Amino acid sequence: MIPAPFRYTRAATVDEAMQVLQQDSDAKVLAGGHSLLPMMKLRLARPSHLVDVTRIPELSTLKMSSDVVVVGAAVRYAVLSQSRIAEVMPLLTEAVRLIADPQVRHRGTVGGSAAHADPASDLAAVFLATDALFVVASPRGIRRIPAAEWYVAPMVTALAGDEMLVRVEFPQPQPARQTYLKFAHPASGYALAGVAAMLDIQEGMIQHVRLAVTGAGAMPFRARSAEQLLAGRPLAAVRFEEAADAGAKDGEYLSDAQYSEEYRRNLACVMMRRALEKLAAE
Amino acid sequence: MEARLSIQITVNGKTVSDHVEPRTLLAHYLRDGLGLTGTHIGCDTSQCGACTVLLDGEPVKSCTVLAVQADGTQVMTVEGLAAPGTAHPVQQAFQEMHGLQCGFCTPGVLMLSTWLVQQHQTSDLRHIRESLDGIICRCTGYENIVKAIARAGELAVDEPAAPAASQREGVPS
Amino acid sequence: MTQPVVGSRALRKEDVRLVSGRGQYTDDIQIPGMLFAVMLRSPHAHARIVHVDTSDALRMPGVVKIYTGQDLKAVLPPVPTAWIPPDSDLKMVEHPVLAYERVRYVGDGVAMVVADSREAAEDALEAIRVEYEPLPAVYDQRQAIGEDAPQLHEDAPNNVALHWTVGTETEDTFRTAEVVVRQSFRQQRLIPNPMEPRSAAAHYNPATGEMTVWVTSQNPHIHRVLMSGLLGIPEHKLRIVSTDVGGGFGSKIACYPDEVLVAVAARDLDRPVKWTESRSEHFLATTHGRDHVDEVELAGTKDGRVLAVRVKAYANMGAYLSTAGPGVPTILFGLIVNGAYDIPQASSDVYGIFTNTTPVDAYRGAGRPEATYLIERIMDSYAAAIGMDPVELRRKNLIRKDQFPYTNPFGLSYDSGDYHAALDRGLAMLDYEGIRREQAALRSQGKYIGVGFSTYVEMCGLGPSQVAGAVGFQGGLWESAMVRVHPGGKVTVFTGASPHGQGEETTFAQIVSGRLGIPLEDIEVVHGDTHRIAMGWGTYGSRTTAVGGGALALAAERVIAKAKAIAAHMLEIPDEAVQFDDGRFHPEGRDDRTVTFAEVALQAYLAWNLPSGVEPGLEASAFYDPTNFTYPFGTHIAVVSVDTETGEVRLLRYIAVDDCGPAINPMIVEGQIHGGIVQGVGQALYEGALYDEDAQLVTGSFLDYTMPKARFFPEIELDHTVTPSPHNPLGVKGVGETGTIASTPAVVNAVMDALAPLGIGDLSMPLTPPKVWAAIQAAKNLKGGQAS
Repeated sequence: MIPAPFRYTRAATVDEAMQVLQQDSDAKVLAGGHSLLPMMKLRLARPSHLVDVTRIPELSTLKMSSDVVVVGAAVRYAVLSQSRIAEVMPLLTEAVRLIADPQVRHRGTVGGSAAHADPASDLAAVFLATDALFVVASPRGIRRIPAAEWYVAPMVTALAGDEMLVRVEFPQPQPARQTYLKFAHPASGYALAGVAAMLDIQEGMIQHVRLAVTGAGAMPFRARSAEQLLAGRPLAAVRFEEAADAGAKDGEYLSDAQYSEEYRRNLACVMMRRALEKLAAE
Repeated sequence: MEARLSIQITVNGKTVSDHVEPRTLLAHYLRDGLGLTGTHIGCDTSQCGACTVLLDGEPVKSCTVLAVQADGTQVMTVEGLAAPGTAHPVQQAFQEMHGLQCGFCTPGVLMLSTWLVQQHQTSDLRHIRESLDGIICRCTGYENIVKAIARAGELAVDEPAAPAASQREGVPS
Repeated sequence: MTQPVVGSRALRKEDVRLVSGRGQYTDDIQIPGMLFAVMLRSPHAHARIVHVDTSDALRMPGVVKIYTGQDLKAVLPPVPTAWIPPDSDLKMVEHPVLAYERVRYVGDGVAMVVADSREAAEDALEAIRVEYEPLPAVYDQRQAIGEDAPQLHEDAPNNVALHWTVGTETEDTFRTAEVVVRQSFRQQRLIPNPMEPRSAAAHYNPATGEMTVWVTSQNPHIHRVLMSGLLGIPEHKLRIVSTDVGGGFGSKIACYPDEVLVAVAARDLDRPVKWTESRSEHFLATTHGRDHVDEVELAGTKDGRVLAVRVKAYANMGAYLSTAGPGVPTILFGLIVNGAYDIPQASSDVYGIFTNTTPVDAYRGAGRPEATYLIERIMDSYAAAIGMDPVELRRKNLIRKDQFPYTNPFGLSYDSGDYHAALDRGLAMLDYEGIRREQAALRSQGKYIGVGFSTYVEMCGLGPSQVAGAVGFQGGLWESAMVRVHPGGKVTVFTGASPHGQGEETTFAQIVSGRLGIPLEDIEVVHGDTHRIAMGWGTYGSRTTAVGGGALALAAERVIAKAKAIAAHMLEIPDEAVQFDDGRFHPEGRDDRTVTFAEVALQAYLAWNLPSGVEPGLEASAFYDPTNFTYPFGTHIAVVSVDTETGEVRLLRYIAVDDCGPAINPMIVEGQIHGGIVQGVGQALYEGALYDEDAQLVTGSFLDYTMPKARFFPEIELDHTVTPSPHNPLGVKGVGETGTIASTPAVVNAVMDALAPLGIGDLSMPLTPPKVWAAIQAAKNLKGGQAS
């Protein structure tokens, strides 16, 4: 299976890449290619022009400081998983290590995952839970899109046609207890329910709490109802099961041939509760 | 047909210069362009891993990499693992442990295994099983693949590990 | 030689090329000037073809020719089926190489594009315009025989392809039995998915009239027979090559339209042509397996004695009859539904039904897994019904060692066995009492584990040719071997079997090495080439070592007999005074004068001084026809846990005790069992083809059809008992399919055992998390409802 013909440009700079996107509305950005190329091989996608952004130095940035973690859009999962970011955002590296398989992790990129916006992508939960900011470039300059606004519909982001994702910024500090728990689709490896959870407990009180779910719902979502039930409450007084149940209601679920709406909601609930229990036990 | 682009790839230590269509997949280029038919294509959705090669030392599925994306890289295929008549520790281990049957997925499995050995990720059998997420084998039930990878780690224990690119890069300053 | 080579864990000879990327699979064939073919396949499950317009496609760059069904219907006969079960009223419907009037499943071939590159061919495929008039479609076999169902073939009313019954009278027993257990089972459709997709490459030489077709086949000589008829090329001019084949599992038995089309194009265009299916195409256009709906009844006593079993099976044949398709749900299934148990009465009543789906044919085990599943599952239901431990029930009904040869209710003669010994060994490995204690303790904590058994027997080593004829197989089932000793004393073995991963290049070399006393590295095994091997029937039905190995043993003995005569002459002693061991000939009881095998070989070819009446040369052929099938058996045990919150089943332990007779190479035997088990567990827990209302395949890629992965499994625990079969010279029974046959019911029984306290009696495979979870929810709701 071979893609339909297309033109290829390897961009050296963000400006060069944007130029192609401006000139050709059917052009697409190519990073790791592990979502795009299979669709092109099956001829379900046929962009006229691919702009390879993986060799733009700026897009491979990995930086951490006391107030922000910056991950370039073309940073590959394998690079991220072995980086020192694990020390400040273990959630991110934990999630990245559960994406697909070793070969895919050596090609797939953080920006590719974000821009492809598969509603079962592992990183979607992480972006939402951490209130990540998507930094996008366009001829109009740079703008930052908060994670809560990024995912518009399945496979659709807030990115305009002539815009390009340059990097993702994660505000620091984040709650200390973090985890990503995943129930994977046994065939595809995508999340059937992936839960990004963060929690601070100070003197028996739950402080910050962040919960986001990917895969289970039609769209990835923040489980704000669960967060509200937990934040500011004494650990001894909360019931995680109840919180997870409330949080699961924040999602919208659809049935497919193998996984019913009810099952998906249940998985979101169970995985959230397990994530909370794990963090509370740390 | 779009204009062909020039590429230069070092495959199994030999640098080749060529002109390819942008849509030519690395797996097809290796097989049809260079006659390296050891790299197999087992699916079209990047699941099976039969086409796994090492790109700059890292395992990737060559059916999901354009040949033009590999321009300027080092590619190693199963044919490059060892000189004819000799065996790489991974090849030896797969023979000793009966880690293959029909042999079709084997080249990809060997290339992934080579990387696992280089990364010293072969001591824990459960970890090996999880590292095989990107491999589908229909013959062996994986049992002897897992044992072969562990055995390869033992055989290679004296050889210095080559650092993969992802270790060289990626450490924030 | 210190260690006997037969029975040793010799490393595989084929591995040297396979681990270095130097195998030659069909898609690896590259010939200068080669063209590439791609198939246009129907997107509809059922439709009338109104018009096929290739004009735009023909104008695309690189396109050489496009063939349609209309072009070929007058010049190519339909694809035949090769198994016609007697008294089955089989409807031999037309299966055109390309559909010309009607398409009957998604994937049915409509046109073939031949172009000068893969890219050009794929581009042109998109430019062919086909006007279809969609028709109602049906994918479920029971709906297909219902009223108002869409009709697939005019000459198969109500879509019934065959109806076949066999067995003893059972009615009286069922009427009077103390206990009758009835259960329906669905054995879902599976997609074989060998890792090498199917492929064919053809080269025609108009000057010699010789056609060479490389094809991914498990049985190149059967391909030659069938393709010779289809192409009108006599067998001596048609060469089929299937040397390195990347797994088959039954799906590479059939002669498909694709290889015929590639050969047609190569002859027509006078250019080599190659076609290789994509994985997506494999899901649609390569034969599928299983797909049964079965109703099973068991009659027994209150104290656990099975008196009778009867089965009514509805087998989905797909849209057309594949090469061996009709034999699978009949002969290979209906004759062994009593399993390993001494059951006096049994009967099978089988319907084969056409539906708008991919044709169904053999898939690892072919019929025998379906039969084994039914008996092993209903034995557990019977045990539950009478409150008996499932192991105790099995022990009570298993055929006893002293009953062999045992004639089952269908007249099959089981060769040999000690079924209880295998069961006992498995129980010891398991610690049965321990696991039951653990199970009880966990249940009290709300955790559920289960243990499941399968004490199976398999009918394989296909088989005596007389029986093949009697059951309607349109071929023989003997096997050929030739042992050719070269003047230097090295040996080439030619076998009509066609291994494609099973390792017979090694085990066959071991058989010869053991007999001729020459090292393994001096023996080369040739297979899969109809110009190098006179005739043979291929590899399927766990027959290769039993039948092909049997032929080889006979051929080797014939070589030794001749070599002995020559050696006697060289030693100047009578023939009967020659002793042959470790590759040396010497006077019996003395080894001061010896001649080596190589010296005899050289003399055989020099022929300077041969005994009178002995011809020069040293080679021998054997055509071995076994006297009966073989019957490997064993006990498989699965231990599983069920996560009641997610429905996820985890395999905690898997124990297998198999008896396939003496192992030529235990390492290879273990590998076969490992792979078979995992494939069978795939059916129990993961795999299943799903169709939507329009008979579109929903699970059409590795993204949604779950293949077993390494992480799903614990280490598999194996042991063996060894009971030789009296039916072949090696005493071997076959081992290629046992794992697949045994493991599916063992795992399902284990899951049902785990869920039994919740009141869940049966679930249809695969036991996926959402299915198990939904059943647990339903059971809880039911219990809650009863409580309130």
